[in-house]
This record gives sequence, structure tokens and C-alpha cells, in this order.
Amino acid sequence: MRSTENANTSSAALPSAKTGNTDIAIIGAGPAGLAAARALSQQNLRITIIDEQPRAGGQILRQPPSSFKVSNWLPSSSYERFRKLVSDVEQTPNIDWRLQHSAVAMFTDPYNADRKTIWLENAGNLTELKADTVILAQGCYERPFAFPGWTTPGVMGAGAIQTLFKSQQILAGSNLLFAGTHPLQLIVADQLLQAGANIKAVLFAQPLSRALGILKTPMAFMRQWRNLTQIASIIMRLRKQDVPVLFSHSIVSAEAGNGRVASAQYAPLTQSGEPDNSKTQNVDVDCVGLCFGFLSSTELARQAGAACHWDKNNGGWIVSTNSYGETSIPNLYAVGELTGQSGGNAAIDKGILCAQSILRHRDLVGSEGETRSLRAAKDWRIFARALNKMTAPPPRFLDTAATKNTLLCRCECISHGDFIDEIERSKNLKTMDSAKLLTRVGMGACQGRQCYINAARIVSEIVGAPISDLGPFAAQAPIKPVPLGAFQQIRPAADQACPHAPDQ
Amino acid sequence: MAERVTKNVVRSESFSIFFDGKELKAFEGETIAAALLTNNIFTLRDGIDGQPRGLFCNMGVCYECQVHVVLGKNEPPRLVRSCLEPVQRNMQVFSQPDDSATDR
Repeated sequence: MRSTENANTSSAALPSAKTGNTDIAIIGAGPAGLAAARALSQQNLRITIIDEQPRAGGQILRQPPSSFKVSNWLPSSSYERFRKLVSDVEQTPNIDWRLQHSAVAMFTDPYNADRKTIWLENAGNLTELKADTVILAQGCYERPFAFPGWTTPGVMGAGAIQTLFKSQQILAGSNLLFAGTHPLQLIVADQLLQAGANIKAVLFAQPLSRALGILKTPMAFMRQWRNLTQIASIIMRLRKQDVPVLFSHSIVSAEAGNGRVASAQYAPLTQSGEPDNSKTQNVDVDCVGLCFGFLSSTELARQAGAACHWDKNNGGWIVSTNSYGETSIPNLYAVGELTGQSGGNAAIDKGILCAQSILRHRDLVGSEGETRSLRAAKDWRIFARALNKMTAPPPRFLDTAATKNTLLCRCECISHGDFIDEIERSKNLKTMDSAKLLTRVGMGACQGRQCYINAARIVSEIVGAPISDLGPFAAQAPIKPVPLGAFQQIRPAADQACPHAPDQ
Repeated sequence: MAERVTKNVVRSESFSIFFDGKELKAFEGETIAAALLTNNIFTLRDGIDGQPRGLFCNMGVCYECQVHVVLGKNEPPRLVRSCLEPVQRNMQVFSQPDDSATDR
């Protein structure tokens, strides 16, 4: 196991937990988790922060490796609040960091209703951490968009291109095409353009009128003035460099050459959302970025039994909570994108509110700002709702993007055609789990993350049941693959895990 | 071509890693996936359909970037997500399982 940074804090500096290993386990070191940690750290509580990445920040603030010196990193003012948050928490002395760890299962302790047991995996080893209170903050991932050639190496999420740039300081390609519905792809295209890459086009599947729909909600518009002007100046910058930004357009196919993507075709979409194949453009590319919105990573919440509900353009299956992030399970909280796609700023406010609730339950006084956070979270939610509507794929578009030979399930290599045929023969299916058992779709390493949403849409249409009735693929422990050998010995979590050196 | 940004970035030490036996340059702190990209390696493995696969999500959820790594001399190969796993000096990375190493 690669050890994380050297000890900068001695074990004597960490408060000890009342019972078990830790008072509060925060799973996910993105803005929501870190905001909760910052608000809780002022009390004498043992706080454990768990994340798969080697550094805190989540995806929005995915930091370069500690060994890199990057000056002028993320200079845009829109990152300022996040940078301060990460810096604050990294410099907080009383935190138990478990970075490069995946939280793969969570169980309620049968002998203690207020105790949670979490299985953590690192380098093929499992450890068991016991926490009184757990905050889930695992965020979201990019919605998979299936089209001919989508598994070609070099075709990846726009977010992947962005984190390669942001964190690893790498340009994923020199000739890039972006296609999607979400404005994030404009930000990524702009960042790469300014770093010297050639952007062939940025394509939006929805019509311009839908994209401008955000302006119809004046409240959202007024509060999000800064975000909107940022997007406007990006579009102007792209246009100035002759980068086409096209609406009602989408990528139609991508082809490989020499082991990576070499060309792609795009076309305008007709009114009904289908590509007009008579007007296809061909471009030479070495990288394609897809940006169709996000899905919430609620697998662990669901495996633990927390109530969730289906919200189509808001993250898919999301955790049901109140404004304070309280779930259906006592002492289990869910914050940030797990509770709906609301963006990084809302995540911070949700983290703050969650901390308030935890402190109240422990008869501790929180810091001020609760009312402000309640109001802010509500405002961000209004903007997010408008944004989600604006970035929803147009009707019929998803139905025509994939051909029958296009893979639906990347892991098990099941095509759309084969899946549809199978479901057509079993119209009495009642659940997505049945569809999975029948076809193998969702049985691979990604556990359905890259296929569920496309499969569910197909099943829903064929059997005539809403997705909310069909349910998700049941999340079973472990919610990420763990090598069998790890189960030979599940070690109790050491009291002092790999400490994190804050400033490098 | 994928390339490293050098403006405003100072990397630490560089060393060799090996992908399917081929010696490549990598920098301390890079993920295996990033190091391979800058060495023009986009295909990380084959899917069970026999088609080449590479990096997709770069955040540990898609499992497309899985590679086998061997660290020490007598270590068994470990399947890792190359988008999360940092490079180490002389690390042996394989696109397919090296069967000789798993016969224990």
C-alpha cells in the first residue's frame, strides 16, 4: 500500500472518539464533506475523512499531486470559495485522514443502533471502521452517453479531460471535439484552448432556445449573474478563435486509428431530435469529450438502506433527505450532489447545515450562519433546477443516438440491439434487477454505473412502467469491486491511519 | 497528442515505469493513466469483446482503465484503476494479466 503523506500531526493531537474508532466519518472530501468537516472541527470531536483520491478537494477542486508545484492554479474567481475551504480543512489539526481509501460497504451495528461499520478498501486490503455518525458526500459522476464508437480509447468524459488538466496538468489531446448538453464542456474547452489545444467544435444537443431558457427564470438569473457572464465570455473567446459552438448538434460516431480515436462525425439534429445524416461533418480528432450531465453516486447510501427516490434530470436515484441532510437512518446524513444536482456552492451550504444538525443532536452549539445557509441552499436549488431542465437531453435524441450494434453495457459488452430484443421478449419484467439478471447488463466491474440510466430508459419504454417503479440496480456490498483475497482478513481500523500533511 | 503542461508547472523527479515491457518516462505524483497518455498510450486493455479500451471517467467509477501492476520482484500482480494509482519507480504495468506471475 502506498503510504500517504508523512505525519505532520501526532496522534496525541487527535481527539479520541467516544466509542468505536471515530465520532464522525465523512465519506467524500469534496465541497460538501469538507464544509461539514470545517463546521464540526471546532468541537472536540474525532472526525475521519475518507476519499479515494490522494488529496482532498473532490472533483471540482481536484488538486495536483503534492509533488507538483503549480503556480496560478485555477485562477478563476469562481473557484475562490472552494480553494479557501480546502485550505482551511487541510490545515485543521484534529482530523483523521484516510485518503486513497474506497468506502465499499456500510452496516448498522446490530448491537448498537447508533454505531455504523464501514468497510474501507485500499490496495487490496479491507479495514473496518466504526463510526457513530456518518456523512455521505460522494458526489456524482458523468452521465454515460452511448453512440457508435463511444468505447474508443480517447473518447472520455469532459470532466475526465478537465481533471487530467486540472490535477495531472496534462492536455488529453491536441485536437478535441466536445459534445453534450451541459455548459461544463464550454469551461473545459476554454481551459484547453487557452493551454494551446485545438478545439474542433463544442456541440450542444439541445436547441439554443432551450439553453437560453435559463434566462426565463429571473430569480435564478439575478443570483447567478457571475456564472452566466463567465459562460458568455467563454463563448465569445471560443468564437473569436473560430471554434464552432453549435446548438441542436451532436456527435454521431467516432472511429479509431492506431489504438485511439482518430476521427468523429457530427450532425445537426432535426426537430424530433434525430441526427440529419445528410448534413454530417467529419473532423480529425485525438480526443472527444462527452458532457451530458451527472448522476449521483448513491450506491453506498442505498446499500446501507437509506431511502432514495428517482429524480430524472437531478442525478437519477438520489437520497431522500430534509434540508439538513438527515436520511431515513438515524445518524446517517447525505449532503451535496447525492441529494440532487445543485452544484458545488450548494454542496458547501448543505455541508454546513448537516454539521448544524449533528451538533444539535449532540447538544453542542454550532457556529452562526444556519439561516444564511438555509436560504443560500434554497437559492442554489432554484438555479440548479433551471440548469437541470436546460441541460436535459432533448426528447427522442437518446433513442436515436445509439444504433443496435452500439454497446449498452461496456463491461459485459452487450449491445443495444441484443438488450432490446431480450426485453421485448420479456415484457412482464417488473424491475431493473430482473432485466439485469436476464441480460447481464449491469453485472460488470462498473456495477451498472455506465449503463443503468440508458438501460432503464429502454426497459421503461418497452414494458410501459416508469423508472421510479422499476427501481435501481440493487446496491449490494461491496459497492465497488474488492479482490477476494481481501476478505481473508478484515482488519479493524487502526486508531491512527495515514495522517495527511496539509501544506505541500 | 496528449502532452504535459509545462507553463507554471514544476514537476519533481522523473523515473522509468514499464508498460507491457516497454520503458516509459513518468513523473513522481502522476497517475499511471496520465503517464501512459503522455507516452501516447491510449489503449490500456481489451474489453471482453476484444476491442481496445482506455480512460473514460478518470475518477474511479467506470473501471475501464484497469491495469495490472507489479511493484516488487516477488509480488503478485494487482489489478488497479490506473486513473487513481500513482506511478512508482520501476513499476511494471500490464494491459493483460501476466499468467506466469499468478501461478503461486
